[in-house]
Amino acid sequence: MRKIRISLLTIIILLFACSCEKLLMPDDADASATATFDYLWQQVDERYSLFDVKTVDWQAMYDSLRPQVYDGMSDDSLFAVLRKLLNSLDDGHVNLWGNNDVAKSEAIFLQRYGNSNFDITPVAMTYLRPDYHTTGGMAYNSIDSGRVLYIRYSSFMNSATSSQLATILDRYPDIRGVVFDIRQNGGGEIQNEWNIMKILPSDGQLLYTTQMKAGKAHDEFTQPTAVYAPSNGDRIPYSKPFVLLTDRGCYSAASSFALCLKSYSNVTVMGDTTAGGLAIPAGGALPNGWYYRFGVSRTIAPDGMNYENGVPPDHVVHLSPTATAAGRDNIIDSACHLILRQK
Amino acid sequence: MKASPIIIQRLTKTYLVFAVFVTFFAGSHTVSAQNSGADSSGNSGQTYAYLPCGGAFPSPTDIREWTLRLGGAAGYGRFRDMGTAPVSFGGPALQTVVGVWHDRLRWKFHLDMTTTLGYYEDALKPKFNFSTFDISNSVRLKVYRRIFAHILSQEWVGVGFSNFLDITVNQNFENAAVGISDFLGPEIYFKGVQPIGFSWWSIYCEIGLMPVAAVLRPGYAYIDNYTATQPVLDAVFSDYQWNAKFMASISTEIGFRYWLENNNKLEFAYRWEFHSSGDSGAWRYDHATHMLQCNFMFNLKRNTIYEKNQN
Repeated sequence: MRKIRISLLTIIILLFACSCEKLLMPDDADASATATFDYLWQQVDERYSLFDVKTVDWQAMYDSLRPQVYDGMSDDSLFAVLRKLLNSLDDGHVNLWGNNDVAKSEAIFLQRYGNSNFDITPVAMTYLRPDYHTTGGMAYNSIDSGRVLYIRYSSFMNSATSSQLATILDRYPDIRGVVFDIRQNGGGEIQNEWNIMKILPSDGQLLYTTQMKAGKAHDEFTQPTAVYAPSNGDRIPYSKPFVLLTDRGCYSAASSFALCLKSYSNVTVMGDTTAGGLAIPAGGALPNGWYYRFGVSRTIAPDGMNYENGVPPDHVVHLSPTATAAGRDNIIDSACHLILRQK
Repeated sequence: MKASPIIIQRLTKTYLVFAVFVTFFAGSHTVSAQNSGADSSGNSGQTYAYLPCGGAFPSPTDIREWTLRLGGAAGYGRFRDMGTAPVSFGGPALQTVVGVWHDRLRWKFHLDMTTTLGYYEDALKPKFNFSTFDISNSVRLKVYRRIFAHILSQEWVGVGFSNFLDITVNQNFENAAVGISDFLGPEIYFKGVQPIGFSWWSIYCEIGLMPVAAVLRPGYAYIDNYTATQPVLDAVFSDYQWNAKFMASISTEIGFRYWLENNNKLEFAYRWEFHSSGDSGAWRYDHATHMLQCNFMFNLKRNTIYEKNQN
């Protein structure tokens, strides 16, 4: 009986003495407003990968905003301060999700909608027309008396496989070139970029190099990893002229796509500079339960430039209000002209 | 390689508490159990109760027993991955237990595998909802040597090799939604077995420590979607790093075992496992489970070997 009692006592003691990981784990982070601000500022300071192409003085932002934060302040007030902090980065891949709100980059918003090089009405009525076709996420029709194929791809969130694109091109064997319109395409699945590139002629050319953040210092990165054009496999690549239309509404995967296509010999990028967003964003949570994301990599073009703030086109063409009023899109017309003058 | 002195101190203190109590109730005897008829699992009660003590019957020189251990468990799990969040996630967890044991009078060879599935939420759930799925798998290959035996009690020490793999999935963390952690290394064990009186029950306790481990964790950028040009596995592991860690894991198990007449056994146990990558910053990872297990131990084969010159 005594042994059983000792055993039971032992069990109870062991349960409490051995089985509490709280003894071995540091406490969770303080969820106060000041701790949350400090944590976010520090996370960005140590892990954000684009300080070299942003004009922000991150320490100055801390010095100016930190005094506005105090424990016990309302969530809305704290959110407003954090939003201001992150907005200073002018980066569309930087977001904060709060209780009832999402902080987005105001600069990217203004670029997209304030400098739009795209008007859907002439595109729909004059180029796509009511008898347009849809394959995957791509809408298309022949234009210019059937000599050019116009493809509208509005989001990389929508499916675009190489076989879908091949099917589209097979339907128009006699066209002299393709106008591929990604204006106002805010990005999405990077895999769709690769799917489309597989139908363009590849000799394994360098598309870009990429580096990950590797330490706390702003310039601490991993060794560059080179990324090359994907193989065409068994398929005969599409080698006729291919004009990619871009504008300030092209972000993230759309920008990356524009950067990659600049390395293809039969591709011309036309329109306006993209909005950028080449870095890969990574997400995380704050001590108070809100969560965030920001870029942790950087992409370097073959010419050694970091086009994080926008990939420039080969031919700059801005949308003409006069053309739009006449039901035309002068950028598409310019692309057709470029295609048709090539032999 | 880094080791936290505070953790070592706490583990040492915990271990001493454990060892003192186990030794107290398991080692307070003076008569050797070499000829007691105690079986290799320490379930000597029923044997001892029905055999007269004094050598009128032959005593076994060895026992060879194969056991299949199958079971399930329910409990609570908790983890914190500083790479994505400075707060803990916790919640209910279910576990499967599979083991193949080969027990002898003085040796044990155990292969154990547990798989745990948890659905965890952050501590701030009322304010915000972060749901994380967590699946972990633990495989242990153990060899024990009996260091003490008395009529009703035994103590064993063991060495082994274990691998603990944990995968967490939280879709809120863009491009960091999948976190993979792995602990690979040797373990040492101490086990005490104490039959309860002359009944069919025994109680056992075990503590396991991983003195050094190779720990796999995401790299500094903490990203699981490096580039679409790589095959999936390369992309997942491209930013991962191995590091060495002292005292990476501790586990304790306390259970009751009931011996059925057909040599099968029922086991009810409480098991706690804790893994920690140590260090600080994004590298830091802690994972704990508290499980109440119910295991069925199927006796596959049992041979009792007697010396030829015995009666």
